Amino acid sequence: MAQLSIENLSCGWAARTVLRGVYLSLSAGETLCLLGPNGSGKTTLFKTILGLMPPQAGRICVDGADTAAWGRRQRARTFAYIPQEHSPAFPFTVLELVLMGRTPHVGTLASVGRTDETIAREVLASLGIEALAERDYTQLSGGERQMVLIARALAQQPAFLVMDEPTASLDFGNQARVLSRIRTLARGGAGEPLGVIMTTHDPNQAFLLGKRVACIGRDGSFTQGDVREVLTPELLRSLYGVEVGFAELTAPDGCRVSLCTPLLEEET
Amino acid sequence: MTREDQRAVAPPAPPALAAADAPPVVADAPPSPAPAAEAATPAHGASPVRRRPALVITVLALLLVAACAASLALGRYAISLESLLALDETTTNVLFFMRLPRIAAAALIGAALAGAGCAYQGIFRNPMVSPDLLGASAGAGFGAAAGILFSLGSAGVELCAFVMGLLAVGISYFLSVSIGRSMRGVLVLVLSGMVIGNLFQAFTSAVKFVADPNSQLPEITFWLMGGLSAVRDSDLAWLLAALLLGGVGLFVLRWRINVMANGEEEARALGVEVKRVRLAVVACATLLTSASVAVAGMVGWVGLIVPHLARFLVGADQRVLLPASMLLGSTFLLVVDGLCRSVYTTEIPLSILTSIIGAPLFIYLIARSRKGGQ
Repeated sequence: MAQLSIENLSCGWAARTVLRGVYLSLSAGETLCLLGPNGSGKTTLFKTILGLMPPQAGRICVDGADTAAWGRRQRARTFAYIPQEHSPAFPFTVLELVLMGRTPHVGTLASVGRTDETIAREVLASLGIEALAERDYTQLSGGERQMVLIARALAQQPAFLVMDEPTASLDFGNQARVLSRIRTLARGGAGEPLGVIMTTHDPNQAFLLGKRVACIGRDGSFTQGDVREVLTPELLRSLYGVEVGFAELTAPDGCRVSLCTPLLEEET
Repeated sequence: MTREDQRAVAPPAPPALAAADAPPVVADAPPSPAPAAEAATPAHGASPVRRRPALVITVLALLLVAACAASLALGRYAISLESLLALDETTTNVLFFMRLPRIAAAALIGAALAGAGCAYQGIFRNPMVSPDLLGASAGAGFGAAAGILFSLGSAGVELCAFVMGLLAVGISYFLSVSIGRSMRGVLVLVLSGMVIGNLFQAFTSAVKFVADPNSQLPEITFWLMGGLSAVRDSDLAWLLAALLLGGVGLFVLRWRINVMANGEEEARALGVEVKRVRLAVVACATLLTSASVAVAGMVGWVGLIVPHLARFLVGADQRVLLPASMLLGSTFLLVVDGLCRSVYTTEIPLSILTSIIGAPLFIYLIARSRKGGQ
C-alpha cells in the first residue's frame, strides 16, 4: 500500500511563497478533499505534489522515499493528474487519449504497443465507457470527457490520483456519478486501492466522500482532519467569508449525511 | 526555358507539339480514397478511414508511385513507349539524368516539408503553424542571397542557405530560452521566431538592395521564388541524408509529439520531458526545412496544408499522421512541380503554384472543419 507523506512543505512561485509548513499524509484507499477559496494556493500545492514546480522547502515522500530526485516518468507512474478542463488541439479519439496515459510506461523513444492498447481498453471497459473508444474526444459532453480523463489517469496505473475540481462544469447528476466513481476507485474498484486528492468548491462533496478534508485559508493557514470535526460553520465562514447553515438528513440506507449551504445576506 | 529544354539534344519538339504533348496533370491529382473505406463499419462519429491506417498508408504510397510514374512521362520531350523499350540514348538521357533527379528531389522535399510541418503543428498545438515558424526559411533565404552576392557558386549558395537556416532557428531558440524563464515557453519561442524571421527578411532585403541589379538581383529574386530546375545529383545525396536523419528523429518522437498536444503541463504530468522533446523536434524539423529550402528555394504552403489534408484522412495520431503527411507531401509537390513544368511555355517558379493551389485548398479545409463542428 502506497503511502504519501508531505513534510514541512513550502511551495509557491519564484518570489512568492503561497503555502508554508504543510504536513499531510495519505494512504492508498483514502480520499482527501482540498477546500479553499479562489487563489488560496490549491493549484500551487497540486503542481508541487505533481513535480510541475519544485518545492521551496520540505519533502514529498512516497513510501519513505523523497520524490525530489525522481524523473518525470517515475512521477507519472506514481501520480496521475486529472485536469479541470482539457482541450486537446487536435481531434484525438478517446482511445488515443487514454493511450496517452501509458506514456510513462513506454521508453523515451518508443511508442505505445498492443499491451498498452489492451490496458487502455480494459480501463475504458472498467469505467463502462468502452463504447466511446473510437469517438472523437472533442465531440463528447462534459461528463463523458471527465470519465475519459479519469480513464487516462487509470491507464497510468498510478498509486495516487490528483484531481483538480473533477465536478466543475458537470450537471447535478454527473457530479454525483463522478463522485461515486471516485469513491469506488479509492476503495480499489479498478484493482489496487488508490489514494485520491481532489479539490472542490463544494464542502458538501467532502461530507459525501467521507473522512478526510484539508482547508487552505486566504492567509495560507492549513487545517486538516476528519470532515465532521474540521468543517464547522465557524471554519467555513472564515474560509469563504459568508454565513453558512447546516442540516442533517438520513439517507435511505440509514446513514446520517451532513449538508451545508451558504446563506444569502441582504446587500446594503 | 527549362534546363531540360536546353539539354535535350534530340530534335527539339516544335512548340505547338510540345504543348499538346503535355498530359493534363490534373488527372494525376489524388483521387479520393473513399472507396477503400467502404468496407469498414462506421463507428460512432469516427471516420471509418481512421480505423484502417494501414490501408490508407498503402493507398497513399501507391498514389506516390503513380505520381512518380506520371511525372516521368511529363515534360517537353515526349517519350513514346517504343523509344522507352528501344532504350535510345536521348530517351535514357532525359529520363535518368534530367527527370529522375528532379522527381526524386520533389518527392524528398515534399516529404521533408510536410513532415516538419506535421511535427511543428503537434508540438505548438496549432494547426495553423508551418515549418518556417521559427525563421528557418527566412534564414535560409538570407543565406542564399548572401551567397549569390558574394558569388559563391551554386554549392556555396546551398551550403550558405542551409547553415543560415539552422542559425536563424538556433538564435530563436536560445533567445527564447534566455529571456523566457518565467514566461510560458511556447509563446516566447514563437515570438522569438517571428522577430528573428523578420530580421532575416530585412537582411535579405538589404542584400537585394546592394546586389548588382543586372545580374545578382534577378538571380536572388528567382532563387527566392523556388524551383527544382537546378537540382544536381549531389543535392539528392544531401537531401536524402537530411530526410533520413530528421525523419527518423521525428518518427522516434512520434508518441511524445502526440502527448505534447495536451499542453505543456499535462504532458509533463504524463511523464514527458517537454523541453527536451521540443528541442529535439525543432532540431529535426529545422534540418528538414533548411535542407529543402537550400535545394529548392522558398517553397511555401506544403508544410502548412499537407498535414491538414492528412489529418482529415487519418486523424490526429502522429503514429499514422506523420508517415501519411510525408507521403502526401511528396505526391503534392510532384503534382505541383509537374504543373510548373507543363502549364506554360517557360517554367513557373514553384512557390507561385504552391500558393495558388494551396490557398484555396486551405480555405476549403477550414470551411469543412467548421462544418464538422470542430
